[in-house]
Amino acid sequence: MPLRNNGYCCAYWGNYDEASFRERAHEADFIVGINAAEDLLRHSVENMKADYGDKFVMIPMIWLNGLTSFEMFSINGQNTFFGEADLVEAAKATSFEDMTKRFFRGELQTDTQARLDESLRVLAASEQDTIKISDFIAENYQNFPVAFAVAHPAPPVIAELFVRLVAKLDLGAYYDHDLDAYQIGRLALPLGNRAFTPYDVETLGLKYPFDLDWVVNAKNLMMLLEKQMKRAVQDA
Amino acid sequence: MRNSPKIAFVGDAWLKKISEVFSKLYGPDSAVYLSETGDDAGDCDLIVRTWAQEQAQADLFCPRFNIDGLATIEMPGAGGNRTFLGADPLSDLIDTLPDMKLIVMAMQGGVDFNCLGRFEASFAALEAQEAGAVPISDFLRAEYQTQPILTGCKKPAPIVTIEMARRIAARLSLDPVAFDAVDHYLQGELATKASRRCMMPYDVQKLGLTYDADPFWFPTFGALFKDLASDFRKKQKAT
Repeated sequence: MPLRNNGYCCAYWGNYDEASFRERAHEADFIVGINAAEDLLRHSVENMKADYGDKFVMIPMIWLNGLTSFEMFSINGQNTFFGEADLVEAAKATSFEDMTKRFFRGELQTDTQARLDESLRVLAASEQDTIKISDFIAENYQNFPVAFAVAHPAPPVIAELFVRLVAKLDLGAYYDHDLDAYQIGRLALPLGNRAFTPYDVETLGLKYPFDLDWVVNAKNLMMLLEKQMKRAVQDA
Repeated sequence: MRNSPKIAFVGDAWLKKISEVFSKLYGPDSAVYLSETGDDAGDCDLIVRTWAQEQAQADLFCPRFNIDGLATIEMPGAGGNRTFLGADPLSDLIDTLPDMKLIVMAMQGGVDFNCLGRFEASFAALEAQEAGAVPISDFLRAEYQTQPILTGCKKPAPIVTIEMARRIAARLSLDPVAFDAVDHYLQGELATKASRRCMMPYDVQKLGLTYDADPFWFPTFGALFKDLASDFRKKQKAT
């Protein structure tokens, strides 16, 4: 993100290179970390605070489950379904074919609102020591896309998070508040493998359109889900 | 004639989609799709053809959908013979500037891709066909600024296909009540995989679109440019 006339240099260490991080962390004026799930953290917040004091600032891990009926997201290289629980249950109760038919006709929903509310609750609860963003998402998710995959927030959310981070670090003087289309465009994270349906738009009261190719996408996802269910039966 | 006429749809991929609407709404025997070079219409009662076959016999003609300009650049086809719509301004500059400089210049709105001009030219071509065909340009004009009307220059969005089917049905005096059965699923089935295309926010503004036409324009433009530059240099080498 752009800081104007700043003299600041940004370095990104990613998740895994602890040695190089430790080696150079003392050079940084600020350290921004992401509040990942505890089992993914290499360092506890307490340790980071103890080691680096107030120059350590944390941003929340944005994880939004429920903005689509059904999607797949890769977690640590493992493809994981979201919204599949109701589908699996329905398929077991009748047949996979029947479940699919009902899903496509909007007769089988996957509790999008409840999943989204829970995601927002968890996010808000995780924000005690971080920059806050759950309020912005809760206020705006019906107005424009706030994410394009479970863990891929949309550019306006990232931009808002940046604005808040800049305020927290008192870097306002260096920040160009008029983000242009180029700067916003480069914040885009990839679109997820998702079935974002017209029923989702209705259920969640969204003011922006569903994916035109939702049927094609949902068919692909259903194929993968069926394979996974068959594998589970074989493994059992 | 049967209770509901059997209609032969003879033409391009869009007409195939339209025939699917008829099969779903008026029964599976109501429509047969034949490719443009396909067999004769056999026992069909009526023939609907894609417009370019104006020499052929038909009861109705459907215009050939080809709307350029609703993407900054687009790679419409697949396979070996790749073409890039709207990319001429880039091709003109590709030899004079380093790639990265050109990409950034374009991404910052410094290249005019003439979307509006291309769009208007497409409309003029469409309207010219409509003299002898079922019109659709009025619907497209009314809708294009508020919602996507296509997923590629030759790929109309489901709402457009449904509207064209509705108009054909009206011309053939078929009961319009059948269209009450159009649901999300039928519309969803009519969607085709989008072409590789990107729509820059600068062009969104110039065209007066009120929806976010392409949140992923930034990475898509970069990828399309890479392919464009690669093809351009291959051609240069070959000559």
